[in-house]
Amino acid sequence: MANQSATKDRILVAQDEAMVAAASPHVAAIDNAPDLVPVGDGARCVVAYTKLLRAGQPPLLVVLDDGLERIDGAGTARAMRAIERALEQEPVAILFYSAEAADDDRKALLAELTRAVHLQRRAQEPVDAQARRLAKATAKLLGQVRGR
Amino acid sequence: MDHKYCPSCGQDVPLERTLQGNYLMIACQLCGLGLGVKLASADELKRLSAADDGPSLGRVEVVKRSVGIAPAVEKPSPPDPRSAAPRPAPPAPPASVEAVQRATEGAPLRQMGRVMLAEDSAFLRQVTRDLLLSKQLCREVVDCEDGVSFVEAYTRALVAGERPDLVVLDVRMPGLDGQQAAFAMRAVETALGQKKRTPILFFSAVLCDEKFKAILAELGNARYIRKSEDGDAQQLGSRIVSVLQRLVGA
Repeated sequence: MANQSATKDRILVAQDEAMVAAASPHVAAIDNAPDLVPVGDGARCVVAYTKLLRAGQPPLLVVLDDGLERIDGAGTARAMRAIERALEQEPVAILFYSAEAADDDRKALLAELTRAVHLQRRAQEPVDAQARRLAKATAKLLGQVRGR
Repeated sequence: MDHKYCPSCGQDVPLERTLQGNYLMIACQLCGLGLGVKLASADELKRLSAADDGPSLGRVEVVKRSVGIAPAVEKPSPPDPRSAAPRPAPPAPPASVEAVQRATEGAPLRQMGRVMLAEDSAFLRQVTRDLLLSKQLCREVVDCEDGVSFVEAYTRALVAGERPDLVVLDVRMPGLDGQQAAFAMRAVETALGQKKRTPILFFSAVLCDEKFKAILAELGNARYIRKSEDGDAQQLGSRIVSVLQRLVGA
């Protein structure tokens, strides 16, 4: 098993720029806050994720939207799991934060991926309120990840 | 004539089924896919004929070269007008593997070492593998049953310093489709510091529209062969060789 210890805690975030900007101060307020690393689309997320795994510094969490360019959220998550298996790494926690409801397809995807959860983004709310929800869910997941 | 799920193009299309000896011949009127399955018994024929989701390739012996990529369909019927999806032009006369092999005989080719193939149809995986090996286009074929297992196998190969000479991807696959798998593959190459991009050949029944052409351009070193468009044996064989030559720089 490759070294899982991270020299710097990171969260990769594949969300729109407005959400990343709004969420950054809320995530920074979390105890022992990790760096928030925006990665743009699904393909860039796979690049950043693979680099971190190869460096033995897996992120604590990856936050994905559904409608990402090049590789959508589900595809990005599946590619991540494939790369983890190839590099013999433990699966990293994934948080889907998207406007879509959690239907049966989503539940099947989460079960397939393991260590993955979905939080519905309330698109009718102001971005800052959405960002606070994301930060709150992130803090909860980080507590679980760090407590393992 | 039945309307069944085609294992190649994934559409609910007219599948013509005819019985020839111990073989059930199945032809898709939309994409030109043809395949033959050896029947274990008369009960097997009844089961296949009654199936709602097409033949179960895993449970019957797939006939390979003796049947070919697409068995002859004497009088193709027009596409089903009840289907909402727009239909491409009727396929050209279908090809057999033997005909493709004849068409490519004598063509100057640099033999590749390893080809990685991702195709969710077990039958098409086998046919493509056989074609690549029998034509001595490569020495080894690593096949994957979907896009996810392909990304895993490709990452392992790069880490082990065993980059394939060519990747052949179906476009429509469950989980991670061909284009997403290709973008993931390029992402892994970038992350692992690969200077050279492995050539990609998309081999699919799906139409290559302007959007897909833009994807090919963005991926770089990627080509496309449409099965039904190249249904004629001579054209298909020549085109496969031509595309491979361009891809591998023969």
